[in-house]
Amino acid sequence: MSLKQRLYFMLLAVMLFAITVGLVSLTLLANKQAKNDAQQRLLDTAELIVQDIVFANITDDLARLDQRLHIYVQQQFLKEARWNSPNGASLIAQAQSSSMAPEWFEQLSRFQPQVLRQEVVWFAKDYGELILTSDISVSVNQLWSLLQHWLWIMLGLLFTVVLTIEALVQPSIRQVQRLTDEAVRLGEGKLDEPIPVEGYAEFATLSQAMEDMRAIFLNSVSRQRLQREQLKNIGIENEQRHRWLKSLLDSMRVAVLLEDPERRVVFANQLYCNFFRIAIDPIALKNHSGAQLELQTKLLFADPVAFISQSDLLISARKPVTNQLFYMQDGRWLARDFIPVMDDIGRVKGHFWMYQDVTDIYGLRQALSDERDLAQVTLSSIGDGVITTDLHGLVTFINAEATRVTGWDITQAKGLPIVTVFKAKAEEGDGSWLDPVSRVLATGEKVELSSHTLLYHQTEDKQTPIEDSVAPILDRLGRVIGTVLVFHDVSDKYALEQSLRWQATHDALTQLIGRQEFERLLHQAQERQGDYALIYLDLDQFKLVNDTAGHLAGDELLRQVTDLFKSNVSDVHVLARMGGDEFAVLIKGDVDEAMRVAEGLRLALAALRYQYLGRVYQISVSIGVVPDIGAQPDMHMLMAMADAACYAAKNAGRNQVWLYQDTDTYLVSQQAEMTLVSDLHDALAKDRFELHAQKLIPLQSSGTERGLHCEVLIRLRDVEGNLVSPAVFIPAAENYGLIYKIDRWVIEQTLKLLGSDADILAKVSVCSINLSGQSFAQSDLVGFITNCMHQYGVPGHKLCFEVTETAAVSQLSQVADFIRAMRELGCQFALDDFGSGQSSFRYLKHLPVNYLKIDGSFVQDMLQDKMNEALVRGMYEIAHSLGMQTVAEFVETAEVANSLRDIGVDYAQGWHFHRAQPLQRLLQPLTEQSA
Amino acid sequence: MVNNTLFSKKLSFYFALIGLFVLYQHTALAGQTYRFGVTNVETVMTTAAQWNPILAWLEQRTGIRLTLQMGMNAEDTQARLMRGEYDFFLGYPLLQDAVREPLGFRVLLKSKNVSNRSAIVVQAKSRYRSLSDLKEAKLWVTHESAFIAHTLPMAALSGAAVKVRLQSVSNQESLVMAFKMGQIPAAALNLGMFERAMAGHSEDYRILWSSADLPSLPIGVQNSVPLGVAERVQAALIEMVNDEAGQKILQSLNRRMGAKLSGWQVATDAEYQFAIAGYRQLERGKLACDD
Repeated sequence: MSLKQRLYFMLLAVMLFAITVGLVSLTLLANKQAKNDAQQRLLDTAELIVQDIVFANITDDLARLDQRLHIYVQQQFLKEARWNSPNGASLIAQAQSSSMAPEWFEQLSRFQPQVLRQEVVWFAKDYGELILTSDISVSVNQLWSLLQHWLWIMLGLLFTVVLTIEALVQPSIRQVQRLTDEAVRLGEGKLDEPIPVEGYAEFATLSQAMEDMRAIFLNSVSRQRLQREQLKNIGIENEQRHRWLKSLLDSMRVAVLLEDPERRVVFANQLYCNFFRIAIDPIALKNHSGAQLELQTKLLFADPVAFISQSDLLISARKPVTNQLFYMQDGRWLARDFIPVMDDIGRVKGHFWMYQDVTDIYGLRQALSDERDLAQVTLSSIGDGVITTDLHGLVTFINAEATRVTGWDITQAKGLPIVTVFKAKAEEGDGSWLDPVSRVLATGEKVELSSHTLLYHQTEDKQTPIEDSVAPILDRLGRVIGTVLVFHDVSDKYALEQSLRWQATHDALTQLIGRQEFERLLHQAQERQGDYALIYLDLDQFKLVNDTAGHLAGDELLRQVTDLFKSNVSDVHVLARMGGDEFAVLIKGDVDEAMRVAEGLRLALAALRYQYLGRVYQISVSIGVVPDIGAQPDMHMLMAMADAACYAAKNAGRNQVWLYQDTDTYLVSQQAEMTLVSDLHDALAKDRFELHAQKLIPLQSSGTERGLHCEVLIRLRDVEGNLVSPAVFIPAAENYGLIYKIDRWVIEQTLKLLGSDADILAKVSVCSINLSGQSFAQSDLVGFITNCMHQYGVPGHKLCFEVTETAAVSQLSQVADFIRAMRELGCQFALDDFGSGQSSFRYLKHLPVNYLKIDGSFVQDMLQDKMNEALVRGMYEIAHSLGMQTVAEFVETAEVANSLRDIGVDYAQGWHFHRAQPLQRLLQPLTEQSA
Repeated sequence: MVNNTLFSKKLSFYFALIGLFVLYQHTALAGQTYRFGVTNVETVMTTAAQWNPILAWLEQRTGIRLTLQMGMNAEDTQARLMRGEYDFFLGYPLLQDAVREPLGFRVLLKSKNVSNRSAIVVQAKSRYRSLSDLKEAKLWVTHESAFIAHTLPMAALSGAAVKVRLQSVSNQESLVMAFKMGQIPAAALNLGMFERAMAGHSEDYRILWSSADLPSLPIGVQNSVPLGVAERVQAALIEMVNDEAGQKILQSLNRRMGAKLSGWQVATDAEYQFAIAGYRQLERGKLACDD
């Protein structure tokens, strides 16, 4: 059946189908629609007729009702309208049939008249029954008319389609036929004639495509012819190359065997036959089995089994292998290379075997290997860690010692970057990892790392201090080919250094840092200019514990106090033992923090009940706080301020915290005193003290003394050359423990001056030197004075040491011992400022002094104050009764002198007789007198 | 003994007669349908909607079957009334001498609490401001038998010496609808019914004249209706407001119609003398109405 026939057939089928479907659908639809319409119309009509029925009944006008029924029936949807009244009467109206469709269609359409029965009730009043019957003729007529239209439309469509087919399809069919013929021609291989491109757009496109295909086929055929020609030429070339390759392989010093995938020999050179003592021509080996040849020649090898098994392994592995060494029975070494010949997709096309006599090379290599092994063993045996790298900084060797320290063995480390294996930091650096190898590789120069280098273990949980150096490895031409890194574990040395450093900076008893280290940290804090404060602590009653319970108790107390302080001082602060019973805390914080810590320490210590050998001691602490230490550039001044504040706390009653403030007058005076103390130190160092003296004048003519009797007085000249009164600097010197140094200076200078000229010495009767209570605390005072006496040649009887009543009483035993010791050397002693202290006369029994110096406060106004006069008299009487001579101080008037004389006082000292003057000037007239 | 037997027989006979009579009455009553006419104030259908439920209730209550009857229009109703086609009648027309005297109509009942006023109304946008403005104007009215909607307005116009040109409409409901749609400029009608219909549109009309509140439409009965029947109907209608079913009917009616019907009460002719006199006066032609 042709395409055209099929088209017509399909068209007809479609048309018939459409008509049938349309007819059925229309009928069903119309039927349903008609039914619905009829029912609705009947209802609507019934509604109207009901009203008419009611109206007619009420108005008693049934004739009108009958008329109305006929009118309704005449509306073409009603076949019959019937009203049955309650009393049995009926009114009927019927319509004439008006169907236009043939009867068979009417039956086929299956339209059914609708009947409506309805009771006529109007607001509870029964007006009978209404029966309406619909007329189907209208619906039948409508459907019949619709069907006719539908048929006409279908016919028209059919006609149109046929025309379209005839107009469009026929030419297309012709074109398809033409293209079919052309395709057949192409299939027969007739490619020479071109395919015309014509017709409708689609056919033209198809024709063009077919024409392109023809051209491609034609080109392809031409290329194939050309390739065949080329292949033929290639074959000739290959033949030539083959002959050339053969001659090349024959001339090589390498035995060559080429096999196909089944191990049949494709080619073997003469040297192969020579190596394996194959007597036949290599050409004759073609197609022999390579495996057979191996079996035949295996006995030439020292280990034939290994030789054969290796070959099998290589073939099965299908990977190139070079330098397989085999030892031959005749002592030669053969090196074998195996190359599987593969095509582009990985299929084995052959096996290529090469054999080379490497006996000479192997020997050399073996020697090198032996040397390398020896070197490695040597390196492994030495005590230093050794790591070598190549030119790129990758590890090539690591010895056992390096493995121990780094945690990397050779199998792990080989090939890794050196910075991975050798991880070191400078102990006091910026925390970055060191990389000396890079520097060596870059510069070619040896690099030594700092002595304080820490090498990290692989797991980084351990660091080892090392000393290290890295040197380049150079070849014969001086080029860097690697590096060698050598390091020595200095853990022991490091530990010792650390220990010494620790000992130098820490207090052994309390394990706290010591004064020196603390001052260093303090200085650092000052320079940082941050928020820092200084707390200075001085234990109260520590001396009591030490003196009463002994040094062991004192040490234990210090340990307990240290533990207490540690538990009350945060780790951000620095706690130190400054010495003795003094502690300090460097507070990282403001004044509030410092005060809080200070108060906490005070309370903690106040709560401490120190027990030792059954005795309980109540301990407290005096604390000075200096805030904002960065504002004080001078650290010594800072310490002095802290000390002053601490001292102020003590003076205020102990167990207190005293905050240093610039406006604190007490501390200001303390600070002035401290400044003075600093000046005193300087004065001592630079000899800015001066010796002055004041004469003691005998008041009684019976005195046997001849010569100068004077009291040596100390004067200080400040940096500007002004004299500073002893009343100013002596208390400061006493407070800060310098007075004994001044005493010693006075002693030495006085003896030096007296001993400088024999005449002067001869003219001096007694030279009184004041000694402070602190001097007596110095155990070597007797020795010092004795040495000076001997050094300067001053006899003891020329000297009188004046001791204040207060000092004598507070250190009674020391003073008494000193007096006894020095009296044996002829020295004399005077008890100074007698009467001003709180001692009783009882002490005079224990102090074998020569002179009793009555305090000037009693002498000055003894003429006005009878009590003073009586006291002076009393002191004189007692002194004399004890065999002592009396000296009255501060004699400023003749009347006082006379009164003293009358009393019997032996000597007078005061402005009335002599104002103090430089000792040298006082002694000078004596030399002039001598002259 | 014989006397006793005879007496018993007579007594039985009499009882039987009485029983038959009662049975006859009941049967007669049950079989006979009385015609209840209503004046054409509203359309036939509207009137039926109102009165069919009431009459059905009456039948159920009393056993007396009443069927609603009306003329197609007021004129037709008047003619039927005069022919005696109504046994009961609701409306003022029964008070006409031409109806009362030959048919013996008497008033039985009237509605309770129903306002009944007559009025002459005009469109608010019309030029009519007083009755005198209606001189020679067209005035729409219902049939002359309507006392409230026709007789009284005519009397008022006559009293004002205003002559109008009358245009008749079959019933007041149609008249009110036409006015509401603006089709007629002036009308005479029952004010109560008008106001119910024009609820919410008070600004659209103007009342030129209205009467005093008059008694509501009477229900009357012919002499031909047995007394017992009339009395029973009367009693039932009076009792309707007290009956549960009757109340529901009245409430439903009020909802639908917008009325305020609250039952019926006894009424007599004496209460409607004014209407009777008015009809007489109309008959005498002393009212100046149409031309």
